[in-house]
Amino acid sequence: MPSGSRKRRAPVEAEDESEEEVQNTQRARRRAPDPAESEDGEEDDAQDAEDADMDGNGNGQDQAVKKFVRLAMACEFGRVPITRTVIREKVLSNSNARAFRRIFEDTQVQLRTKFGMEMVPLPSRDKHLLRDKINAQKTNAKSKSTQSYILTSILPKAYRTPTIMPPSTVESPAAEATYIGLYTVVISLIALNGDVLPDHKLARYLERLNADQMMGSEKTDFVLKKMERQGYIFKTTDNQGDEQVIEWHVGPRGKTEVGNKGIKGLVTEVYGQNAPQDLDKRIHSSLGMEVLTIEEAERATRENNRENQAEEGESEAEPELEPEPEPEPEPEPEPEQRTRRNRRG
Amino acid sequence: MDVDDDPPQRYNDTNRAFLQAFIARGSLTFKEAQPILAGIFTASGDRTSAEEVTQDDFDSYVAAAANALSPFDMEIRSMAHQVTRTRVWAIVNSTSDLITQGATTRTREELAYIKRLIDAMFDTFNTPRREIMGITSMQALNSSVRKGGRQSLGGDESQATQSADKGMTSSQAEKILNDMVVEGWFERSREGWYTLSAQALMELRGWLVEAYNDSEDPDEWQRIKMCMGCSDIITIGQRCPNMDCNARLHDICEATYWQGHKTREGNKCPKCGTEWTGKNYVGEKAETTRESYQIGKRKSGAKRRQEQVADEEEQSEGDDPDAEGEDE
Repeated sequence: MPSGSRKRRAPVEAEDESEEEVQNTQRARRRAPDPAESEDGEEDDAQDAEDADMDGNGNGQDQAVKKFVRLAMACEFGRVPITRTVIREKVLSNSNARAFRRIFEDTQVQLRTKFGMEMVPLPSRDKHLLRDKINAQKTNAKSKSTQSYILTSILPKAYRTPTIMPPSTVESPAAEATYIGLYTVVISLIALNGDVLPDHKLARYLERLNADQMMGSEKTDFVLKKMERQGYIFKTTDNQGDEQVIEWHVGPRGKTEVGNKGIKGLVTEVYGQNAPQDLDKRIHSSLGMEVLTIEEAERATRENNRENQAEEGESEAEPELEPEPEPEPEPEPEPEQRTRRNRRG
Repeated sequence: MDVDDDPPQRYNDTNRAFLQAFIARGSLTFKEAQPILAGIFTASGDRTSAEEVTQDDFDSYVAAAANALSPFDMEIRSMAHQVTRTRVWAIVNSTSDLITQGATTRTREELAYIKRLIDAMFDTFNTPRREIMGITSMQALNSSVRKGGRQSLGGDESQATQSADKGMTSSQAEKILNDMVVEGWFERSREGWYTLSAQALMELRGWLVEAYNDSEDPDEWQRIKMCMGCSDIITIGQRCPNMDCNARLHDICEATYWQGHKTREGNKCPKCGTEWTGKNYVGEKAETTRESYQIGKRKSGAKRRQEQVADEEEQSEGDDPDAEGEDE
């Protein structure tokens, strides 16, 4: 890459940063050969993580943070949640498991300062089945080790325009946009039904959208499985007598990425000009939030998350890595059109 | 975090936004980056149009992004597109480890098929006599490539189906080929050859050399070779007429290279001294310029038009920056 020709606009940033960085990497390299030195002496440094990221602190810790950042990026690429289990396995492998908190904080600092992203905890799945509820009570207060995270952008809203943040090209932008539209619709359908949607009812909705066989260029079953795997939705199966009841619910990633705000956006868009006066109110009551407005509720959850992580706050960022999932203007004809476009592509 | 209130933090949201935009796209050209940077500058309160974004702006943001990435064993590489000369920047992993190997949305069967495609490009269709380093859709959809199996193309099909990996159906394979082009890993030429894109070559550079070059001996023919001009991998360009010689040159690097290596008696291969014709090719032209290929096309008649296009391209070779290989 042609270097040495930095001018205008970002110049100061770039140059200063680069010097800092060069030193930083050099230091990291010098430190690299003795990764075994324990981090125990730095137990109190957690709060200083902010300053620490530039000076570096642990030995094995730098390596762990590096691995953690790479893991976070890799997981997000495949839309796989970053679970504690994976973190323990791939990041903390040899080092002290107690170091987790500090490594986690340092990784967050790196993600925020370098990438403008951070990991947010996924809400745990709501317990829908009686037996799950009972189980949960038995084990009493889920241990934190089941916690998992996803990466989200913390950049100000101004930067989240489609020109800057396109649907990612992990698959083609068109396929990605289709997929975002589809899961937003499915999640909205489930959520507006009180977070419980029997399988046959979902099937009927999809039939009306002409998406019961194919979603875009892929089989509906396959796409639903993918949404399930990535945590946008999940289903429960319960045997009531001879009958098997399959119900769909909004999954952790669905709640975080789309959330009530995305659902509201979709509904508002669908009603368009003809929206009844009390649409907002109706949406709120359908989503089971009577007094709180959606924004307030979101802020509350976010603050909650913050507290859980004991971090300093970044306030006005909504939790999404992707650009806000564009609510489809007209869900009905959409899947068909997209199929066509995809075939041509 | 309130970075803006924090004077020592010069790497700011515009840089972060650029990095995110870059990561989402995988690779960028300056042209693609212009509207992105314009959007970012505008978002930061500095109204800018795409045309106003200069190469210097882009370079400084790439440099800042590269610095931000380097502690995490990721780097930004760039190389010129072998045909269009357009420079492409890509974020690549400098180390491949267990963590990032998990970063794929493909199934194991799909990955195995892609691996077989790359094998076909750099092994089956890359011999000392014919260094095509590409694969036609017909070849890519041939059952031995789709289903795997050890024998060469056109071999006995019954054996090919015996592997545990079920392989791809024709439609699955077609979709993968299409996806790979859309995602920017493969390119499809006008004549129908799939080749690795600049982005893929940058990402896979180390791996390709390791996987396909078995000989340590510099005088022996190698499957993966670097251009004498720019030192990047060459899959499309010119070769030394001497079949055993590894000297290769991009069409786009030719002019500059010979300027620096002038000899009285015309252009000579710097390695073995053979006269450099510029008419011995690497890439699909290694196939399309063969007489038997031309005859085959003439027989089928319908391809006549394409052939003319190919001939014209040959004549105007190198000076048409927009002649990017796309399908008809």
